[in-house]
Amino acid sequence: MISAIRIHLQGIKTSLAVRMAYRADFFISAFIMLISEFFGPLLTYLIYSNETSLPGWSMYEVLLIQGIFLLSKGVSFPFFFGMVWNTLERVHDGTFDLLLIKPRSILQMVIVTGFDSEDLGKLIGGVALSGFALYHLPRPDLYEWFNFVALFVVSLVVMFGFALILAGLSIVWIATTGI
Amino acid sequence: MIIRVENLTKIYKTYERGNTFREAVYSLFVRKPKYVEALKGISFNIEKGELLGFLGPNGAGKSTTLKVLTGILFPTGGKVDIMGYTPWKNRKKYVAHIGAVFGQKSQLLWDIPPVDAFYLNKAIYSIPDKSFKKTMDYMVELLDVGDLIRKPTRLLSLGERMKCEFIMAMLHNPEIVFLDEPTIGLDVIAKDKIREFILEMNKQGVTFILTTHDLDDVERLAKRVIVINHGQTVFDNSIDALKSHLGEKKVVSVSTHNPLPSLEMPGVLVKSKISEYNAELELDVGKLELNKFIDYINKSSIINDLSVQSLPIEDVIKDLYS
Repeated sequence: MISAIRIHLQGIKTSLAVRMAYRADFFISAFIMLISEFFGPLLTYLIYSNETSLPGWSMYEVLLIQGIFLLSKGVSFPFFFGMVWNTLERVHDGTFDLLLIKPRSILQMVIVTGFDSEDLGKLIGGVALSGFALYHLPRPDLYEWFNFVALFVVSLVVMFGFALILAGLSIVWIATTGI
Repeated sequence: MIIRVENLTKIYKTYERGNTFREAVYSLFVRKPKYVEALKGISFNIEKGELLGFLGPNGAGKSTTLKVLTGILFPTGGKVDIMGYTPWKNRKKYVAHIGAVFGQKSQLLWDIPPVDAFYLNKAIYSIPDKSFKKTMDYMVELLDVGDLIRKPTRLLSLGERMKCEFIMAMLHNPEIVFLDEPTIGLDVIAKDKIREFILEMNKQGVTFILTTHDLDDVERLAKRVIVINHGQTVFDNSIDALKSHLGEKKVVSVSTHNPLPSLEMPGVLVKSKISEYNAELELDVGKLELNKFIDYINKSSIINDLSVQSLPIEDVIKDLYS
């Protein structure tokens, strides 16, 4: 377990080093990511600031929903959804073999080498937006927090399942004999 | 015996697709399967510490064999026992004991220095700090890449990158290393350095399986050669036996003072007759001894210049491939 965590941490460090090799690209893409992800909350703000609303929902409740979505994407996209593009690219380029000669589970290897630091912006944005919305809403009690965490974990499991299916399909689609 | 391969077979299932647009659309719905027999019962054994050349023309089944031996590919049939493991059944445990260098696939990361990729491998193979540093320092010194491992990989030359690929593949001290065209595209100096490194590591007991089209690599490194063609073994013996596969032949270039005599005799094949005084011949010394041939030419035409060389290994390989 400790060894697996160590690999993930090294993978994250390596991925960040790769992204930061081109500084301008790193900052520009992080900025574009932030703008595109905040388009939804901005729209919500504009709707509610023009005296219209979504029936039965306050602005902070809508922002909280959007923040939670962003948070879910912010965990899944950088930490494991990258396995889809990683598998796709590696099978296409014929470099998937290089992962198979490592003494680790192939799933772990595609996740570690598929870490996407660019999507960490989603996680930061999700935390910020959810925190901002929660600040303006009544405090949830411990039971509600427990429910939230349990459902949030389930949502991540669903995302992981999607990623796994897509990664598996990419192998079937691209290389029937290549691997 | 470190590697034992028995009757290894592999059949690929591919699909035929036509080249016209109509056929391409048709293939979306109906595909005609085609079975390709890549390996037709290959068997061989490799001793610990051997340096084996694995040769064959394109499409002969070399890569398929290598993929099966590295645990990447499931075979259709046959047995493989490497250090007590069946590669495709015990992949994770098995690959911890092997290394691989692919001349056309990089394990380094393009935008960051090789040393960062080495650290990623350290975590993957769970190499202890002390052992990692010791091995890395030793190999960096042996390959003379001290300053290079901290430069981004994209700034390194092909030769420098290949040296770093070797370090990457050997940091965990593998017992067997598979080399797939490790010197492809390298200049003579880089090739020499890589070859020296391979020989040095082989002296220390590492078993190497070298797949290449560069026959210089084979002549300089391999003690034993396996040649496969159409998925079957066509030669498995020492490099010396490979050289004498077409008989004890020599290539003789001769230049004489007087016109050359008739060269139509057993054991002599005229490869090119440049003039009446110059010719290049292939001499089968098993049929006609070299000293008798030289004596015959000298007596009849007086030799001005003469060179005798072994038959190029390319000729032997061409014969085996055909």
